[in-house]
Amino acid sequence: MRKIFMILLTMMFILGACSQGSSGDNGNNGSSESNDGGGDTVKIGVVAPLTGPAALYGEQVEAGAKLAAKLINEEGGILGGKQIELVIEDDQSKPEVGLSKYKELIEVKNVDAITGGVNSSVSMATKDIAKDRILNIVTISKAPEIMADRDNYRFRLNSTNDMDGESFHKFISETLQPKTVAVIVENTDYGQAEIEALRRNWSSENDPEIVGVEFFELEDTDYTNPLTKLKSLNADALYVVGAAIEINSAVFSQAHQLGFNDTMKILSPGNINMEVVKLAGEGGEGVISADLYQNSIDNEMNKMFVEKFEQEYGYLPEKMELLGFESIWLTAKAMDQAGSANDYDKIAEILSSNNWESPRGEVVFENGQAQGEVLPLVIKNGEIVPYEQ
Amino acid sequence: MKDRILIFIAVVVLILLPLLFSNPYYINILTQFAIFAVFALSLNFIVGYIGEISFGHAAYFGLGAYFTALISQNFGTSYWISLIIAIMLTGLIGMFVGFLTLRLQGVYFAIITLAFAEIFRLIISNLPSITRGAMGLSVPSPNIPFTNVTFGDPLMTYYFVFGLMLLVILFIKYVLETPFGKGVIAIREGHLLASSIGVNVVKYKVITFTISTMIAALSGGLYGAFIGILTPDLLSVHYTTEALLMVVVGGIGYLLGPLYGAFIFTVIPEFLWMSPEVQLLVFGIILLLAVLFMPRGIAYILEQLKHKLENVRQPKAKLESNSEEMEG
Amino acid sequence: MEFVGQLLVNGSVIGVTYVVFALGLTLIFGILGLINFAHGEFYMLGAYGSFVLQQQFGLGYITSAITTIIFVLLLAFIIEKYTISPLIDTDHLNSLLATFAISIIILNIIVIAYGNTPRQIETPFTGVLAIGDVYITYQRLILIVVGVVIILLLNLFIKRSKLGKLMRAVSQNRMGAMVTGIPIKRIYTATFVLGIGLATISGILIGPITYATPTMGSSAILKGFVVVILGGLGSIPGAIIGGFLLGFGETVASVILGNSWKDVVSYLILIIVLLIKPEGIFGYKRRAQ
Repeated sequence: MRKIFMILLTMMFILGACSQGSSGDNGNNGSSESNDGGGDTVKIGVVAPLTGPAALYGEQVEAGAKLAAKLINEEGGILGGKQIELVIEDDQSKPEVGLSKYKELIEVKNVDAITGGVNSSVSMATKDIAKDRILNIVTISKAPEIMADRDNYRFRLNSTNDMDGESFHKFISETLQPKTVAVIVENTDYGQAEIEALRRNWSSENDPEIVGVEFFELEDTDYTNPLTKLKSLNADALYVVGAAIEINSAVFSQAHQLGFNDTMKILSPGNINMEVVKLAGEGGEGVISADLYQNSIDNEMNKMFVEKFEQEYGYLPEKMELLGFESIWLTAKAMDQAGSANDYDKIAEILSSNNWESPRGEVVFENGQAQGEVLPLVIKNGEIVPYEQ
Repeated sequence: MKDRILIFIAVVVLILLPLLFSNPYYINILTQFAIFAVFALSLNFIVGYIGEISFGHAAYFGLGAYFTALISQNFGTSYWISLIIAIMLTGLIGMFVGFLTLRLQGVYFAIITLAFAEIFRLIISNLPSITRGAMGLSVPSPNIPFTNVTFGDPLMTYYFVFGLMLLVILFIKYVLETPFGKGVIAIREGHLLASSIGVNVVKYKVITFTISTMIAALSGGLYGAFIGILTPDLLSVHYTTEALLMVVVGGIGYLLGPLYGAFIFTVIPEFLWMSPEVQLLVFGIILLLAVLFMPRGIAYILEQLKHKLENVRQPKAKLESNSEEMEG
Repeated sequence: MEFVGQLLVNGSVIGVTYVVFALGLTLIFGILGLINFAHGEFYMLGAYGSFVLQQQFGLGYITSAITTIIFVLLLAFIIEKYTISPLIDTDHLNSLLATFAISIIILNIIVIAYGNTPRQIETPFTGVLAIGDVYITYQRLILIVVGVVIILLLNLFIKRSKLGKLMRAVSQNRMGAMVTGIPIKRIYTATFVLGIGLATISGILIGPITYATPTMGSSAILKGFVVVILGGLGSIPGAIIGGFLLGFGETVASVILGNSWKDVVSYLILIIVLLIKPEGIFGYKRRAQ
C-alpha cells in the first residue's frame, strides 16, 4: 500500500512537470496572441491519416501541405516575416483519434488554424470542437453534411458527393447512357454517402437503373464473389465506389479476370490516379471517372506547382497533393491579407470574398464550400486523359 | 488500518491531481484513465474471477455506448436515464451470451466470445439507417446529472467519472465479500471443491459475467459521452486488446490490478511521443514480457514488495517514521 | 450454369486457402494444446516475405517463396524455444496471451517497416483460363493444385513417417508418450514449426491474388478458428472438410444474403457448432489433459 502511495507521488511529479511544460507553451502563445507580432511563427495544424486504411491519401495531403509551407517560407513567410510552422498529427483514419488530435491542437499546441480531414467520419467528429473557435479548413472529406450548421470559420476544398453527383452522375446518365448499372461499394462512411447520392441523382425514369448493389468490407481482398453475382445481372455498367487505390485497382483487375469485357467500367469520381492505372494493369483500361484536378492543366500556377512538386518529391502531384497544398497556401495568403493569424472573422471574410488563384484554376468559396466542376477522364493506353466520345 | 489511510491519501491525491493542471487536455487524459479503468475492472471480473479470457469484451463496452446514444436520441430520454436502460439491456444480452457460452472453457470460450463480439460489431456496421454505420454516430454532450455543467467540462467530468470509478471499485469489493462472491472465488480456486460445498457453478459464472458486461456498458456509455462519436470500431478486438493488456499487466484477479494497467496504458503513452504502431509494438512486448516474467502482474509485485517492506519494518521502526515525516 | 460454375471455382480457391491455413492451426492445437493467436501473422509474413525479396533483392516468385519459408521456419523455431516452450506447462491462459502478444508484435513491426500500403506481389503465372464463361486465373489454379498436393503430402507424412507417428502418439496420449521416452519437447518444436510453415505457404499462395496487407492475418485467423472448430479442434480431416465447407458456405452466403453479411454467417456457424457439438462435426472427444 505504501508503494502505491509512492507511485502516486511519482506520477504526480511527472504530470506536474508535464503540465508546467505546457503552461509554458501557453505563456508564449498568449503573448503572441496579444500583440500579434511577438511570435515569429504561425502554427497551422494538419490532421491527416498517416496510418490506417487512408494512410496513402494522408501522406499525399501531407506532401502537398509541406510543399506549400516550404514555398511560402522561402519567399519570406507571411505577416511581415513570420514563418509557417506545420504541426502534423495522425488521426489514424479514426474519428475518435481525430477528435482528440483537434482538442490537443487547440488546447495544448495552440495552433492558429487547423487544416485536414481525409475521412468524412473524422471531419464529422471534429467539426463541433472547432466551431466558432478556430479556422478549420476541411481538405478532403466529401460527405455533404460536414458543411451543415457551419460557423463562419469552416471551409472545404474538395468537392462533395452531391456536387460530384450533379455533374458526374448526370454525365453518365446523359452521355454514357447505360440502361442498367451494377454497383460495388465499400461499406464505409464514404461508400454510404456515395450510394445515397447515386440513388438520389438517378431517381427519374430516364436515368440508369441500379440493378444490384454489393458492399464489401475494407479488410476484404478477394472480390470475386460479389463480382460474380453482379456479373450474372448482365448490367451495362459496373460502378465502383472505393476510396482506396488498391481496392479500386483490385476490383478492376478481378473484374477483368472474371470476363467483364464488354461492361462499361466506371469509377466513382475523385478516385482516379496513376497509382490505380499502374496497379490495375489491363483491368484499368477504359475505366471512366472524373476529377477536379489533373496535373496537365494549363496555367502558370499549375506549371510552377507541378515543377516544384516534382523537384521536391520526384513524382507528379495529383488531386490529394493539390488539395493538401491548397489548404496551407490559401490559409497563409488569407492570413497575410487579413494582417492577422487569428482574427478569424476577418480571415474568413477575406477567404469568402476573393477569387483565389490555384493550380486547378480559380477557386471561389460559397458558404465555405469551394466551387467547381469535375472533368470526366478515362484511362487509355495506361494514361489518364480527358474523356471524349 | 494503515492500508485505509493510504487508500484515503491515494484518493485525495487523485482528487487534487487535476487542480495542478491549467490545461484541460491533461485533465481529459485522467478522465480517459478513469473510464478505461472501469472497463478494465469489468474485464478483470471475468479474467480474474471466472478464470477465463473473453476476447470479445469490447462488444459490451460498445453496446453500452450505442444503446445509450440511440435510446436518448430516439426516445428523448435524458442521457443518464438512457445509460441506465442501456446497462440493463447490455446486461440482458450479456446474460444470454454468458448462459450460452460459459459451459465452454479455455480456447473455446475465448473464441466464442470473440465470435459474438464480431457479430455485434458487424450488425452495427451493417445497419447504417439506425446506427449510421461507419460514418459514426455523434453524441451531443449531456449535462452531468443534477448539475448544469456539460460533460465536456474537463474538471467536473473528471470528478464525476472518478467518483463512478470509486463506486464501481466499492461495488466489486462488496460483491466479492458476499457469500456469492466467496462462491465465485471458490470456483476459481477449483470447481470440484466449489460444487461440493453447494455452489451452482454455471449459475454463479453467468451472474458474474452479467455483472461484468453491465459494468462494461457503464464504461462504454461514459466513453461515448466523453469522446462524442461512436463507430463500430468500439466493439472491435482493438478495444478488447487494450482492456486485456491493462488487466494482465496490472494483475489478473487483483481488485486494484486493472487500475495500474489502465494508468500505464492511458496516461503514460500520452507523454511518450510515439506513433500508434510503435506504441502497440511496445505494448505487445510488454505483454509478452509480463506473461513470461511476471504472469501475476504489477499488483502481485506490489504485494510482494509490501510484504518485504513489512518484514524490514519491524527492526527499523525508527527509520521508517523518519522517512514518513519527510514525505509528509 | 456458368454462374454456378464460377461460384464453384471461387469457393474452391477460398476453401483451399482456408484448409492449408487451418491445418497448421489444428496441428498445433492437437499436439501442443495451444491455440496460436499469431497464426495469421505468419500467413501475413508469407506474403510480405515474397514482396520484400522480390522488391529489394529482385528474386523471382518461386525463389522468394522458398527463401521466405526457410526464414519464417527459423523464426518459428526461435519463437517456440523462447516463448512457447517455457509456458506450455503453465496455466493455459499464459501461452494464449503469449501468442496474442506475438501477433501484436509481428503485425506492428510490419506496419512500421512497410506501412499500411498494400503491396503487390508479382507472379509468373499471369493469364486467365476460360472454360466457357467460367474464368480462373493461373495463379488461382496454382493455388488449388499446390494446396491439394500439400494436403495430401501432410496426410501421408502424419500417417507414414516416423515423426508423424510420434506426433500422433503425443496428440492421443501425452502422458503415455512421455512415459515411453518420446522427446516430447522436440515434438512440440517440430509441430509448431510445421504448423507455421503451412500458414506461411498459404500466405505466399494468396499474396499475388490479393495484395499483401498488414491486417490480412487478423482477418484470416478468425476464419481459421471457424474452420478448425467446425471440423473439430485438433482433427486433420476435420480441418480439411471444415475449410471447404466454409469456403463454399461463404460463397453461397455472399450471393444469397449479400457480401457484407457473409462474415456474420460464418460466425453464427461457429457459435452454433461450439454450442451443440464443441468437439466439432468431425472431431472426437479429446482426452482431458
